[in-house]
Amino acid sequence: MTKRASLEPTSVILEQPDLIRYAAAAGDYNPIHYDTEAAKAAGLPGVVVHGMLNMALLAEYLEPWVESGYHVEDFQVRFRNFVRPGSPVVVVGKVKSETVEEVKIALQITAEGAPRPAVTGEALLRSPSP
Amino acid sequence: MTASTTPLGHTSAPRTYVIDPDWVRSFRRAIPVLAGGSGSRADDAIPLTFPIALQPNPIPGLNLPKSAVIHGEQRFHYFTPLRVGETVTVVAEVSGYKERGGTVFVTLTTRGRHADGTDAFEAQALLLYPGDRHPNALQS
Repeated sequence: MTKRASLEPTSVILEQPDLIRYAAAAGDYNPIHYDTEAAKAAGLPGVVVHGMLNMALLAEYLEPWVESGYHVEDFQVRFRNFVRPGSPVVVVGKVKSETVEEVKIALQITAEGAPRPAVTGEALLRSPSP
Repeated sequence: MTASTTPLGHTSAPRTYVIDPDWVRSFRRAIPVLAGGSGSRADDAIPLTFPIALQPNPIPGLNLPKSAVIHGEQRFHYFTPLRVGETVTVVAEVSGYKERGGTVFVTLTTRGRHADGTDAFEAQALLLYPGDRHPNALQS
């Protein structure tokens, strides 16, 4: 069996150029992610991070497990609050349940100092074949 | 759209993509590497969220007000891995549609299939936007 991968909290700041790079790569050009006026017109305090870029960060967080042979079978998130570029967020996971065949990991992204997570999620990983 | 019409069950025309290696690379490079991550993934590894870039064709009868749409939830189920260079066909369906308190809740289910017809992934998105009867409905 492989050694259990780490689930240490890790801090990251997404900056405006990160959002533009992601918009181009994903083909998601909703102006609320790069145009402050458009974001305000949509009732937001300013431009916000793509939900799918946040989900991609959570996928990135699972990467050590994938590299050690786990296969992600199901991956879901709920976007509960907006994440602003330029502000630090903490990504963290926790093993919810574990059997010989599979591991369920709860995931979340929380803006530093915020009372509740902005994104919560869960991934079901199949264990590597022995 | 009036309240009496619903696009529930409507599907998009199939849309086919070739998974280009440069596209996968630029998608992967657009995701920041986290501290503690090795960043040493194989060049042909396809990120878990890459299927979101395989946008389906429009669904007849579903008019999403682009900048007013809020992405509430996203789920991916992975049947068999996507591979760089392969051809994938995506079809989207309105699998949920309800209006509550002036807000429209739409669930879109997108199925991705390999060239041989076997399932690659299923992506499910919950989208919310103000409906026609919302107090802040966009005047257009």
